[in-house]
Amino acid sequence: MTHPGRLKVAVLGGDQETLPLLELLGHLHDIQIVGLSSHSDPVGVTPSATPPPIPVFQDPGALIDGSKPNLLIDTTGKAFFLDSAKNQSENGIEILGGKGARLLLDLAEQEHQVRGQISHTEKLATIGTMVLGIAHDINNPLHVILGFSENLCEEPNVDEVHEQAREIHQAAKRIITMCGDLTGYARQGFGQQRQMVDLGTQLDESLKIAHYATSFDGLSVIKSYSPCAQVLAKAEELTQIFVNLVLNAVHAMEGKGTLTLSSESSVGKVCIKVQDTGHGISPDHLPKIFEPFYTTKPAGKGTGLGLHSVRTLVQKNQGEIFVESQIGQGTCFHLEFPNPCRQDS
Amino acid sequence: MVTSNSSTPQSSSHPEGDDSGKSSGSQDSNRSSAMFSGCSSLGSVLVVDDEPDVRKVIRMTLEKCGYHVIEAEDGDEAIKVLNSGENPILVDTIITDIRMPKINGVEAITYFQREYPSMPLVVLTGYPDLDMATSFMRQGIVDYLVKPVEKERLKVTVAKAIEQRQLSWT
Repeated sequence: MTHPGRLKVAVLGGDQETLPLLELLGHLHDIQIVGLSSHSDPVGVTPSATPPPIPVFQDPGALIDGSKPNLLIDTTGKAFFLDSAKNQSENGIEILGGKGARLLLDLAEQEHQVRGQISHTEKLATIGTMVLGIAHDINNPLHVILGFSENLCEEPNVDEVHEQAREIHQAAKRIITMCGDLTGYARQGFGQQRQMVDLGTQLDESLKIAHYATSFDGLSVIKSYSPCAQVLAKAEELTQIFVNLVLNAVHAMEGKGTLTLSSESSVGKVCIKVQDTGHGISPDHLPKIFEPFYTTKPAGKGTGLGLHSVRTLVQKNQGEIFVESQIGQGTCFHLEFPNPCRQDS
Repeated sequence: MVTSNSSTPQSSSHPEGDDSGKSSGSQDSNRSSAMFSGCSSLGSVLVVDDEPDVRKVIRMTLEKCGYHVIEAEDGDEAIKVLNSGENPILVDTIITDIRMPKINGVEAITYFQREYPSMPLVVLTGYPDLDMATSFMRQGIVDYLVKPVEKERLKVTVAKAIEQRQLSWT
C-alpha cells in the first residue's frame, strides 16, 4: 500500500550489498521502498522476508512499470540497467546511479556498522553492570566446590565421597549454565539469521539475564504471554531489547513493586508491554529518553545509550516503540512488530 | 560460658524440629549428640545463607572443627532463631551472607548490631565489593570474607570471633 506524501523508491540491484541501504531507507518514514530488481536471484535478500514484502522484479522495466517509483536507485553500475533505466527519466522518474549510488551504498554500510557498534557497546555496558552479580552467582557454587573438594582429600567414608562429588558436579553445572547464558548474551550476533521467535520465550530469557544484573528481591513479576505472539527477528536482538527495558523497570521500582510482561497477537501485528510501578518519567524527560547519551542516572551509572539502542533495534525489525508514564505510578513501554503469521490471535 | 556449656538446660529456648541443625532443629539434640561423641562444642555458630548447599559446606567444615552449627536461610529466620525462647542469645557468633530474600543480610546486620551489640559478626558473601567490605569493617564486624573461602581461613575467622565473644563476657 502506498502512503500519500511519501517518496516512492525502487532499487536496482537487490543483493547482499544493498541490505544496509534497504535497512536505512526502511527507517525513514518519508520513504517507501516500492520495488526491488536484482540481476541475480534475489532469494535470501531481506525484502522477501520482511513484512510487508517488497515486490521483487527480474526485469528493470517491469520494476518501473510495476512499482511506479519517484526515485530509482541503481546500485548495479551495469550498463544494461543504466541504459534501460535512463529511458525512464523522461517519465519523471529521478535516477540515482553511478558514483552517487555507490556513495549512498557506502554511507548506508557505514551507518549500519555504527548502529551495530552502538548496540554492542550498550550491550557490553549492560554486562559491565552485571559484574558484581555475576561474581556473586559464580562465587557461591565455587564455594561449594572448594569446600567439598577440600574435605574429599581426607574423607574416608565412600558414601560421603559420592554425595559430595554429586554436590560438586551440580555446582559446576550451575557455573557452566551461567557462563553459557552470559556468553550467549554478549555475542555480537554477526551472521545470525532472522527466524520466527516466540516472544514469551524471549521475555523469559531476558528475565534470566536481567537477574544477573540486578536484584529482584521485593518485586513481583506478572507474565501474560500469548502463545501466538511471534516475530521474525534475530533472537539476540530481541533479548537485548527486553533486557534493557526490564532493567530500566527494575531500577525504577527501587526494590518494591510489580513488573508486568505481556505479549499478544492480533491481525497484522504483535504487541509487547513492559510495565513497572516505579517512580515514572516526568513529562519534561519523556520526549528525550530515546535520544543517544540522554540519561537521568548519576555520572558513571549509565551510558545513555540504552533506550536509544532499544529503539534502533526495534525499528531495525520493522517495529515501533511507544512509552506511557505517570509520575509516582509507573511506566509502560509498548512495542509493536509486524505479525509474520498474519492471523487473528 | 553459657553458649559453650552443652549441659545447660535450654530446651525451652530451642526451636522445634528435626536435628538437622537448621533453625527449625533442636539444639538440645545436637548438643546431646556432641556430648555423646565425647566432644564438647567449642561454641555455637549461626550460619545465615539462602543457598542450602553453601550452608551444608559451612556446617560440615565447622562441625568437624568442633563447633555447633545452627542454620537460617535468611535474615528473618536468623532473627527468629536469636529471639526464640527465654534465653535469646544461643549463639556465639553469626556468619551471614548479604544478598538474601526477605530481610537481606545488610538489614539483618544492622539489626544484630543494634539488638546484640556484643555478638561477633562475620560476613561471608559472593560479592567482591571493596566499598561494602570497608563499610562493614568500620561498623565493627569481625571479617568480610568473599566466597569461595578455604576452610583454614574460615576456621581462623570463626575462632577469632568466638574469642571476641568470650572476651565480651569477661
